[in-house]
Amino acid sequence: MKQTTRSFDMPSSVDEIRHVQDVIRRDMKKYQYDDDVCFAVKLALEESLVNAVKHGNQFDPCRMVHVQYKIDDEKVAITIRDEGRGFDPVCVPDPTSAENLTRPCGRGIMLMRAYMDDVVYSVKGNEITMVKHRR
Amino acid sequence: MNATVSRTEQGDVLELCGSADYQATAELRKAFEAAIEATGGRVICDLSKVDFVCSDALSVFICARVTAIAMDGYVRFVRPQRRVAEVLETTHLDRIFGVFDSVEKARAAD
Repeated sequence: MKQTTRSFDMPSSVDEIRHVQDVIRRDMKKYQYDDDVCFAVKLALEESLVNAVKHGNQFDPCRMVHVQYKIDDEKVAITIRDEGRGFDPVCVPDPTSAENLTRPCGRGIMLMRAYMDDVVYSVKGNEITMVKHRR
Repeated sequence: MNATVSRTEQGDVLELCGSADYQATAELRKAFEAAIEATGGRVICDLSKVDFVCSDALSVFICARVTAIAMDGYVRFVRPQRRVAEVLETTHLDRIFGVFDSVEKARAAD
């Protein structure tokens, strides 16, 4: 089966995020993924890369964000790893519960889980793997 | 992202255009601050030209709502594109922001 696999390192700058999104979107278009799937992947990339730069690497220019992805006709699989201390995603409160609904933060992880089919964190919590299947 | 406060027959409307991603949050925050000042905290925000919204943009919306409510006002959304509306629904934020299909209906929701 035809597939595209790439990996690269991204500096800890939010200015780089759109470029990564554009590169992956271009590759997804080669496999004719529809706009809804592309939107889901763009949103998951936005949330995971911002988390990696901001919370993981804490904007440290000496630290990199490692991006790896594989696209084929059936699915898009993306792994993002930062060089930070990691965290426990279980400790992030549910932003849709009534008591948290008006809190201004904490929605990134739930959006990734909602828009991707599989979301798995490493034990350390500094690496996330996300999969989106063709519908 | 572009933001303008337009004067309409139904009052001032904050019109946003583009992608509400992390890089746009500073501009988005300024736009809401300006709209809150211009409308006395009664902000109708037209989302019809916004094609993407991330969690940091949602945070800006929530902070703007807190400020508006402190002034006895509100933040209401008008005509979000389908995918943006789905993000609001997924996060349940459609329950605390009014989402309307016209400025008239948003203004009349008092």
